[in-house]
Amino acid sequence: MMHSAILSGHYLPNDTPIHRLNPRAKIISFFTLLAVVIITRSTVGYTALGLLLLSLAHLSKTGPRIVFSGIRRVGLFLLLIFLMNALFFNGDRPLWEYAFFHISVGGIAQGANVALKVIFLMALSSILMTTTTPMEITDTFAWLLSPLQRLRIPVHDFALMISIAIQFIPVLAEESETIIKAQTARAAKLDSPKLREKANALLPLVLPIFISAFRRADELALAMEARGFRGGKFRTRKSSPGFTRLDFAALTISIAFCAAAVILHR
Amino acid sequence: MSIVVENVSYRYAAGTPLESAALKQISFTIQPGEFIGILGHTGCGKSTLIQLIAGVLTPATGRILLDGKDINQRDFKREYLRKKVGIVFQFPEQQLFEMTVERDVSFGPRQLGLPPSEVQARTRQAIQSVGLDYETVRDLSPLTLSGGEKRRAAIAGILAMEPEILILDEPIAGLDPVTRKDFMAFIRRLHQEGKTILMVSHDIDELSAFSSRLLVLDHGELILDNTPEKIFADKARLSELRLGVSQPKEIVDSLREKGIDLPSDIFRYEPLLTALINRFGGQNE
Repeated sequence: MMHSAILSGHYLPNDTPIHRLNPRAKIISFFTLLAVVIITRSTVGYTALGLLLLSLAHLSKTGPRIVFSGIRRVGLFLLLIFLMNALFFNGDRPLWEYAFFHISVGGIAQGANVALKVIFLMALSSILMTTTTPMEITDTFAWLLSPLQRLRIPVHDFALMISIAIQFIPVLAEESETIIKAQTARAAKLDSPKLREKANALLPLVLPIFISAFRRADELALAMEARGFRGGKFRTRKSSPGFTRLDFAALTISIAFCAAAVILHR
Repeated sequence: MSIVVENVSYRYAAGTPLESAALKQISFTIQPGEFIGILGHTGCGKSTLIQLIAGVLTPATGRILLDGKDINQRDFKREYLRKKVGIVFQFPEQQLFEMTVERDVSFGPRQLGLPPSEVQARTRQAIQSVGLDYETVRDLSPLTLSGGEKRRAAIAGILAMEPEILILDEPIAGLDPVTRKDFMAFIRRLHQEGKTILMVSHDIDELSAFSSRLLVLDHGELILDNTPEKIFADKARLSELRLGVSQPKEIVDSLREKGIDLPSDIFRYEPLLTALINRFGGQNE
């Protein structure tokens, strides 16, 4: 259980330039590069992006194994996207046609294009997720969305809700693990091949986890209230580091990539 | 029913940058009828060790043999292990899930596929044995019970499976002093009735009260494995491990320092009391 969580974009504490980036600069760069992935269509573009991603993976010490580990899980999905495009896309230079199947050079290129985009998007997000704490990510999102506060949208309440939810993930994961073990020891048949037994086996797991989640929510609400917490008010941060040269470099590189992609694919 | 732990190691988050060793090359044997206390600081690997013995974790290396058969072999019958070895996790009340106490306690026996009459008999007996009244609690929701009663009900759920070896992880943590005492007496009774007990705690008093053997773990290694008498005799070694001795032993040692002659191998309350009465000739009620 723990193992899969770590591989699929779990934060990995480390001290690298990518970890040290100001989360705001990092997330703005992330969105800029996301735009690049979406705009790119050409081989040159993908090669350049691929090299950039590989160097980011290297710089952040995430390593290609973890960066691409999420992709293995969606392999079937990727294959499906590729086949759909390759078989049904009515592109130029047809190679083979039968009923409503068309295989064409254009179709294959289109399939490869979409599959590559998904791979690059996943790699990019897994670099962000492994180098940025969930707290930093929610804080930055709250900051990015704070103009909406003027429209009376309670951005900070949402941000608080999300950050509490994220903080409780490891706690609940650990508790789930214990309950799974405890019920296994009581001979619960969790790995039965029969669907009916499998569904029945879920109850002894789900119920205790729900009960404990509600209990925790209750206790937390009480503890926050006891310490005089009031939601809705604009809260100041304990620390908000400014932008360093490293941050400007990251922003410059990603904006340059974006500009190049726009010019190249006009 | 003996268990042999043979060169067992365990690693957390194996194969990732967060990998860490939890247990290193542990070997010992559990004989039938023993009362073994496992002692050590938080994070020393004691919970991991008992979970390996209960077969809810798989060792990285080494073997765990139940009556000579490796419990992690593919052809080993898991249900046999569940029948023989019961484990009470820390805060077992968190695993209660059924609508009624009776349904919850009978979950294990039902999963073992026992006939309904047998399931019912065992459930009744288990509920009674933990000191709850079967007729009163059978139809109550476990969630309406008090903290101590919930824990009793949860332990009944394990006892109903009638394991020969009972593993307990901090069974009295978070209970009030009176309930703690009741619980310890109850665990002792289970042992006297013939169950092999393996109990984890970081409270040395709790463990030395009944254990016939203590295992001391530190940083994933089995440092000491001996009778409490022998272990408490080497106070320097214990304080090296940031562990103390039991309170009666502490009292005996400070009295001996003051020149009062008492046997140095006392580490439980009753022998201490007897020795003091013998020494000072007090009136026994």
